[in-house]
Amino acid sequence: METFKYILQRVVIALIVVSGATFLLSLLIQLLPGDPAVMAVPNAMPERVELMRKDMGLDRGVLGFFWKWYTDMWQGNFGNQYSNNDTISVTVLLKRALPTTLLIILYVQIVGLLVSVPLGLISAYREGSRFDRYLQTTLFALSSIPSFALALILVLFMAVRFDWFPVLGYVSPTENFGEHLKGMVLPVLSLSVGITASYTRLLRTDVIATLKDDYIMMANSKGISKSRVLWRHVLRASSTTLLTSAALNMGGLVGGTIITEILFNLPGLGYQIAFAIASRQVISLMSFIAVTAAFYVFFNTMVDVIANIVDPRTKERRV
Amino acid sequence: MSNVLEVTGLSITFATPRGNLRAVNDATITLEQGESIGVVGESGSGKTVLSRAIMGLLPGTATRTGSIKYMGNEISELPEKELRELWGTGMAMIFQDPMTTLNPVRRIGTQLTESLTVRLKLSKKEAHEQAIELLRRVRIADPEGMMRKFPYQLSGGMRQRIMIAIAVSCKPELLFADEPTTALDVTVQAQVLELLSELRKEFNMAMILVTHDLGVVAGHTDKIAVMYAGDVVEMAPTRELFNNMKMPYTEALLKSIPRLDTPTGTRLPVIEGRLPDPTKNEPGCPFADRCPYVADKCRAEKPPLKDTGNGHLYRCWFPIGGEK
Amino acid sequence: MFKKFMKKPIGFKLASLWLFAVVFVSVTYDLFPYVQWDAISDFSQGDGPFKVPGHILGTSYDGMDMFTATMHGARMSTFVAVTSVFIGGGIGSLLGISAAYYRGTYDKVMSSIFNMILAIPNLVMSLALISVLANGNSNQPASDFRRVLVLTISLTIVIIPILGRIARASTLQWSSREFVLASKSIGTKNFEIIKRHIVPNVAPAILAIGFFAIGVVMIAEGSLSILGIGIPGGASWGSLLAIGRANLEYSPHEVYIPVACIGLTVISTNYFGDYIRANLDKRESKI
Repeated sequence: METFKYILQRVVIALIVVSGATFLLSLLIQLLPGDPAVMAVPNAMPERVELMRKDMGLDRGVLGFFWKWYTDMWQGNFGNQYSNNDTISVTVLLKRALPTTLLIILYVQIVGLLVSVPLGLISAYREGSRFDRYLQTTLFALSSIPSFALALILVLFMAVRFDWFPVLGYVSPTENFGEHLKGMVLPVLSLSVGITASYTRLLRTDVIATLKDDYIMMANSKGISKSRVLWRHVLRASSTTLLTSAALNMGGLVGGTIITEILFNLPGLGYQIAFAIASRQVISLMSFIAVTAAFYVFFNTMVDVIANIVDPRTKERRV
Repeated sequence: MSNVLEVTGLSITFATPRGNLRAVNDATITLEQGESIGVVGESGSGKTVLSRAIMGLLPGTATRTGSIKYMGNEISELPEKELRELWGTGMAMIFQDPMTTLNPVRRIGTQLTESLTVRLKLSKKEAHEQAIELLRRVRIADPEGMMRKFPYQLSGGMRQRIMIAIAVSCKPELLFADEPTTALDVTVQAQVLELLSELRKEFNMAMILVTHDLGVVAGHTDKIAVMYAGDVVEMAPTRELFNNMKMPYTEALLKSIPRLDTPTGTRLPVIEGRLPDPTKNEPGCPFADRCPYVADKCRAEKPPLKDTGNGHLYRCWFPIGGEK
Repeated sequence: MFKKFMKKPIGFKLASLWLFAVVFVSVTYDLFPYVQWDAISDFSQGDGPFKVPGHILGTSYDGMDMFTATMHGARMSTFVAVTSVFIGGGIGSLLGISAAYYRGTYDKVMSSIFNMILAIPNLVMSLALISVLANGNSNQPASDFRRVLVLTISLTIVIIPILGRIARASTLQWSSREFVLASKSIGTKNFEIIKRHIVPNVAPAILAIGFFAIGVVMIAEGSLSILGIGIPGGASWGSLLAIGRANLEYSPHEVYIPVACIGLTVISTNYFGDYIRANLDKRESKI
């Protein structure tokens, strides 16, 4: 009951945050000097502009505009994106773009966790050793390098100079999984280096603290092997921090993928956001950003809720 | 009877930024099978370090000299991997603070069966049954329910019972109990001590009970070693020690225990002064500055360990009741 | 002071040297008779570093001297980063500290606005802001000055909630300490308490995050340039990078010189952020 109430509370807060963020955004958009309908299709006929204004809800005033979009969204209708001779449903665009972005994020997280867990554990276990010191310096530098810098360098060496991983554009995994993976190597690598580095540093700090805990000495005194202590006792206790940060990264990664998607020509959500901004499509921009924000808030909430249920320590603190 | 443990001339030094810290000086302790010894001293006297050193649980900054024989085999030079073989099954430890020594993110059941499955190679089912039996043995009312609980759901006394169950689960020959009752309520302390004594007799374990409280060891150990500033200053069978106390320090320790028969409102005598700086190596008896019977000789020369002959050792120039 | 500096770890020295060099170049750029930074060389186009005399870092594919262009770019990049972090950090700290100190509805409104803005990834947020603010008249492209202004304002807005939230969290932690309560109990004015007890204690945490924020802004500036809505014409590192991207195949140094500059700056500011935070933790653990 306690837990249920807590979850409900968190979900309500999450809904308020997402709704509020999109509302602020809609106000911002209406600050735009000029007519969003005209800006979307600069040389449209007056009749079409009139239709578009109606469709967007621009004829309903500042609050009406937001309210129309907001209520439509809850029914699964994200509005339309307009071009010279076409009107595309944003819902369709989302359906097309989201899987790409989600796959990139998924791969980045997999690589990040797979590499950072063993590295973090070893590095913490050998705290202060030469290996640890070199690794820390390297990781510090890597975690500071912007992903676009890495992407450009990777493109230069892997694609342009050596032609190992040609920048193919995007191949859907259902179409040709091998090609799909091959095309993902560089974008995922450029995004995951920084993330892996920060995960490793985070885990290392946490493990070092955990290793000093009494219950680790206790686990050792049972006579079980070092590696068992490390994997079963230390990692289990330290993983909450890592998983929390990984989940929190999900939202940030959607922002991070924008540049990567542009640089590698991947038709994901970030690509769509950039396009919507460049072609001044306010409705689709609002929808994309709403999805991004919802994504971010969803993971934030989930982390809190799961940590609350899974990690007994949070309960201890709450009591 | 064979000796479970023979510690000879054990010294422990820690490398610290302020210089070498001598935590234990030249300690010699023998323990027969099923025998129990109480190691008593103030905090900082080296008693915890001594017990951890014997087991091999010290951090890398510690250097150790002297010999530790377990069941007749020298173990002080064993690599950690072989030492681990002894932990749990040969030697086990109960730690001071049950609030921090159970892994907060794992269930009691998993923590309890771990030694059984990993060390004794029992099947999951056997381990579960044995764990239940152990919980029953440490007088947990609902063992099945307890297996599924997390540490945060338990009181300190409960947790310490769990700790004891874990420690004895592989029936070790030698049990270390490091201040097992310090963190507990007074009412629970007696029960836990009683339980420890009972289990010790039942499993015929030797036990090293480390505490700052002479009262704790009085009824539960065969002999007592009093430590001060890293030295074993007095060692005797329990009865002998209480009847025929030699060291002024032991006396002071005893006086600092609150007793039921003292009138209310009496100030509890405390031992004035502090432990000497363990990084310095000053001449004379380390207790001299705090000793009510101090004489010039005490400040000039450190007294050697004297033996009265009936297993009573002490380190004092002017023992209480005179020399025998 | 020099002696104290020499005792610092090597990372500290390198980071301060680099940041000092960047700031020095940014401030004194006009004082030295460099060649016009965007002047086109007649005899060298797209040569790599250390190949042509007179162009130590080589030339761009169009014939621009990379060395002067990089130094000139430092100025704009630093200006944008420092200005937005300074102003955004100032506003954010003010809002965060006051929210945490006075609590109540004001605090609830403030922290939920922070959370709402933070729910939008900062790059997306600055993109949206720029597209709103930069749009003067849709037919007429915005002037360079306006674009720089808009970029700086947008990034400032992005920084406000980042530092605001830290300031708030840190103030919450300190305002319940005994010495604050004691000060309150003898009737010290709120403003005085904030000035004397809260700000000095909260400042290091804000400073640490402020350093990280400089990195965030530098990266955002580069990203926005790549997206084509940053600073135009190669006037900043991000802008140089955006131009160079087109010539990646022919003159890669056009990309990796600004990339290295941005990277080194971010590493250096992150180092200081880390350094301050580590000292902070040490101080905390001593209390």
